[in-house]
Amino acid sequence: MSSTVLVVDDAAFMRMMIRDILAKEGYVIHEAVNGRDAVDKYEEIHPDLVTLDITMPEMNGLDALRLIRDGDPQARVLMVSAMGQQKMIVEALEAGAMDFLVKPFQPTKVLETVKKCLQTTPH
Amino acid sequence: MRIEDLTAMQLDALREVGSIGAGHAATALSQLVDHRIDLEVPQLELLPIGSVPDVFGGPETLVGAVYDRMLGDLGGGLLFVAPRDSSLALVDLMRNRPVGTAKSFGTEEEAMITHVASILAASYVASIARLADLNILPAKPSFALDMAGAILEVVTAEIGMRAENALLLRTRFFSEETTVDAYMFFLPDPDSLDVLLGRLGVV
Repeated sequence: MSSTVLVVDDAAFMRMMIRDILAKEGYVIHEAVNGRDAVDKYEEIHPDLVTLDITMPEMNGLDALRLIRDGDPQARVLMVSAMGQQKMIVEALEAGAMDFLVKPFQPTKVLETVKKCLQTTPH
Repeated sequence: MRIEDLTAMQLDALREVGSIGAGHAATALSQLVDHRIDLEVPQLELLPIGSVPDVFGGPETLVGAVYDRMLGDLGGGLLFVAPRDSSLALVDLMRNRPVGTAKSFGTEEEAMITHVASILAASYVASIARLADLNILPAKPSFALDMAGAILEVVTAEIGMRAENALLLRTRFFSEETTVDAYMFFLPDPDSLDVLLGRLGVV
């Protein structure tokens, strides 16, 4: 069965880019437009993986990450953000993110990282 | 491309361009001042030219500004603007001394702010260049301490924003630990908008 991925980004353009990359490889894609929407959709869909932007209106990605992981400690979350500051990456990983992709990204890097996250047991 | 004719997806793509550029600029700034720097969600605004200075609290607000022209595949400019107090705070952070030490702008302060802004501009355009697979370089930066109205008038005239409206991609940086409040404006000239949107596949 294909893995489901919840793509979270406030920019429709970025959701489209990530969706195109992943859908070609057979992943089933759902989308959320901010952190709040991501938390709601996660509870509804229970995707195999979440790709999560950080700078978003309503609720940012770091807060959404914490809420998603509080609700499901086995949740797999991959941060995808242009905010590549060391402190922010550490904060996300400590809050339970599996990996961190810095935008802009190469499609091959996205596929590789998504695959790796799905093969890793969440902690 | 007339700014007024941009589609919702094109506007969204431009906002994301600004978001990525600003994210990388924030990373550079956080490394320079050794503090965590946060970003507000970037705003893409289509404004009548005359109301652009209101963004800073009115045309008479005193701001420190550094302007960089873009060279290469994209034309236009990048404008770094910080209210006077934040500009001075940046100088103190760069020199690793308590915020409030620098009281006024001298040659050294100007050089320091210009240096910071040029590093931010370089990281901003480098990330956009990677995203859109273009060659873009910032030119030599120039500093001005002046009223917001005067600075924006000069800049918009220089990049040929002769239309009634200006497209401003603005991002606010801030840090809770300090008092840095700064804005970065990405101002592609009208022809470059077509190039950029074409490369992003949202024509």
